[in-house]
Amino acid sequence: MKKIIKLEGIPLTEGHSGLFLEVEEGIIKRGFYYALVPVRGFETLLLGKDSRVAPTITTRICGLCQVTHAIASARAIESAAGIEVPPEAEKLREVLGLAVRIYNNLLHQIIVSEDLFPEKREQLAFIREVQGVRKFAGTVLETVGGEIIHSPNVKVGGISEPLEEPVKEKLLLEIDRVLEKLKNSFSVFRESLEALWKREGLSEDFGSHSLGYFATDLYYGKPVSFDKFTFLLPQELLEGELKRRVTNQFPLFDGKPVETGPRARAVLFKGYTPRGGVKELHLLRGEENIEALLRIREILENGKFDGELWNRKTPSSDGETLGVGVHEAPRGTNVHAVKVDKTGKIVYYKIVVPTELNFFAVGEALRGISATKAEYVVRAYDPCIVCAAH
Amino acid sequence: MFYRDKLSFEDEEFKLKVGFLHFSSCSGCQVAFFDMFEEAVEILDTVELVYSNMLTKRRDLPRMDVAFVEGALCIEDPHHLHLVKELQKKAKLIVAVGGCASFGGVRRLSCGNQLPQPQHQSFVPITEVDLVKPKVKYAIPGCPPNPSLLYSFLLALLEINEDFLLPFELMTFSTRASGMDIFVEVVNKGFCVGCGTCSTACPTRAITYNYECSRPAFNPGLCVYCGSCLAACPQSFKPYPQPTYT
Repeated sequence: MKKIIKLEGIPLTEGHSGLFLEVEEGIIKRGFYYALVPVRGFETLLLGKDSRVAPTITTRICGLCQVTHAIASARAIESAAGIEVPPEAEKLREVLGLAVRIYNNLLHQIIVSEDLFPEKREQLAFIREVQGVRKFAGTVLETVGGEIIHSPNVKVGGISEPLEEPVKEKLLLEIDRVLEKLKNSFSVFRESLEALWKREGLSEDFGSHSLGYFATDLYYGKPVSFDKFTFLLPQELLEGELKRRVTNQFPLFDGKPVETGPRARAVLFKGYTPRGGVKELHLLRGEENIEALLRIREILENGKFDGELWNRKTPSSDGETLGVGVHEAPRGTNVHAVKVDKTGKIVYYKIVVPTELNFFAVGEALRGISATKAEYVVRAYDPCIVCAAH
Repeated sequence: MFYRDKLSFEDEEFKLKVGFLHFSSCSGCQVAFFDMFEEAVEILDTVELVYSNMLTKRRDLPRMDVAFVEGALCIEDPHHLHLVKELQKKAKLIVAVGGCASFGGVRRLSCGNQLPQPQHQSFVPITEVDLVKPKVKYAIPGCPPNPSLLYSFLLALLEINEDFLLPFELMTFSTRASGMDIFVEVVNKGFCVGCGTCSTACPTRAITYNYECSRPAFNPGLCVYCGSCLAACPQSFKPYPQPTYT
C-alpha cells in the first residue's frame, strides 16, 4: 500500500523544515527534505551596498556557524577586487573557522543529547561537560573575532585586531586541559550513540546512500569554480503545494547531487573509506573536533599575530569579475560569489551553503529505511535550515 | 504576579514553564542562551523547558508561562501567521529577545525579490504586531544579546526584580534602535558625557570613539539596528523617572 506522508517541523534540529515521504509497507521509497522558513533575502539586500560591510551583514545569516559566512564573504570580495591578505590574517581566520567548528559540532551533540540519554540527570551531566569545551571555543572566538556570535573583526582585507602575545599564551595554556575534556566527552558521546543504535534497533549502514562527495580542504577552504554549481528550484523537483511553499533552492555540483560535510572531508583528504550510514557522521564530527583543536594549537604555537593584519585597500573591480570565497564550515563547504563594481559597490551576490547541498543527500539516505526512523537520519546531518533559506 | 495566582512558593514544587520560539532569524539568540555555558545547565535544571525546536521533541505549542521569541514575523509566510496566533493563545507573557524581535534588526534591510520566494519582503518585529503586543512585556536588545545579560535577566525574571526589569519593559515601546538615535536622543539633546559605552556595546563596531571631540562616531553602513547602543547608554533613560537616593 502506497502512502504519502508530509512531516512539518523536525524536532531537535535547527529551524522549521519538512519531509516528504513516499512510503510502501512502512518503508520509504522516495524522500525529500526541504526548508520552510521565510527567505530573508541576503542575496538581494546586499546589492548596491558598499562591499566592505558584506562580512558584517552576511555573518548574520546564521547564528550557529556565524563566522564562516563572514570569512567566505570577505574572501569572495578579496578575490573579486584582487586584494592581498596578510598570511597571518589567513591563519587567524583559519583558527576562527576551527573554533566555530568545535563550538557548533558540540552544540549539535547537546541538541541530539535528548535522543541519546534516556535519563535526564545523565543528559545534564553530559551537557555540563560539553559546555566546558564550548566555553573555550567561545573564548577563542571572542578574543580573535571580537564577539562569540557574529564576529566583527573579520574584515575585507584581513583581521581588524591583532592577537597579542600574552593573550595567545593564555589560550595555549588552556588547550591541554580542554583537549582532555573533549576526549572524555567524546567517549561518553560514542558510548551513548552505540546504546541508542542498539535501543532503536538500527543497523550499522542505517541511512546510507550512493552519492558522491564534495569538499575543498581539510581545515580552511580552497577556491572552486562557481560555474560548476547549478540550481534546481522547488518547482522543478517537488509536487503539489510544496512547489509554492518550499523556500530553499537545490544546488547541484557538476550537474550531480553531492554530500558535503565531515564525511566528505574525511573521504577526500584523509583517505577514509566510508562505511555508509549516518552513524559515522556523528563519529567523524566528533573526531573533527579533536583534530580542529590540535590544529588550533599548531597554528598558535607556530605563528606571531601581534602585527598589522589588515590590508586596508578599498575594494574596487570592473563589475564583471566573479570573486569566489570558500570556507569549510562545520557542516561542509560554504561558497559565496560576488561581483564588485568600480566604486566598490556590490552588483551581484550568490550564496551556496552546505545544508543546501546536503538536502539531496538526506533525501537519498532516507530511501529504504522505516518511516518511523526518518528523523534520526535528518538529525545526523545537523541541518541548519536558516542558512539554507538565507 | 504574572505566572501564578498564589503568592506562596513553599507549598509545592513549582517550575516556571519556559518556551523558545523562532520566527525569521538566525537562531543566534537561542544559541546565546547556551553561551552562558555551565550556567545554562543550571537554568535548564531550574525552569521547565516546554518548547524549543532545538531542545524538545514537541511539535505543537504547549501552554507556557514565559515565551522567549526571537526573530521578526514574515507576513507572507502562512506558518508564521499560524504561529503568532498560537503564541497569542498559549503564552502568558512574551519576551522579545534580540534585535530582530525587538526593533527589526538586520531584517530592516531585507527587500525581498530573492528566489525561490520573491514575495518574502515584509519583516515585522514582534513588538509591532498588534495581536501579541499586549503580551510582549520585555524586549532585550542586542545582536545577539550578551549571554551574561540574558542570565541576569532570567534571574531577575525568576526573582521578579522589577528595578532590573524596568528598562527592558520600557524598551518594548521603543522604536529607536540604530546608532543614529544615539545622536538624535543623546548627543544632539546635550545629554552625552563622552563615556564611550555605546562604542563598546556596538556588536558590529559601527560606533567608534572620536577622541578629538570625546563623542561617538557613527558609521551607518555597518549598523544592523539591534538597539544595543541606546540600551547601554547611561544617559538614554534620563527622561524616564529615575530612582532618587537620599
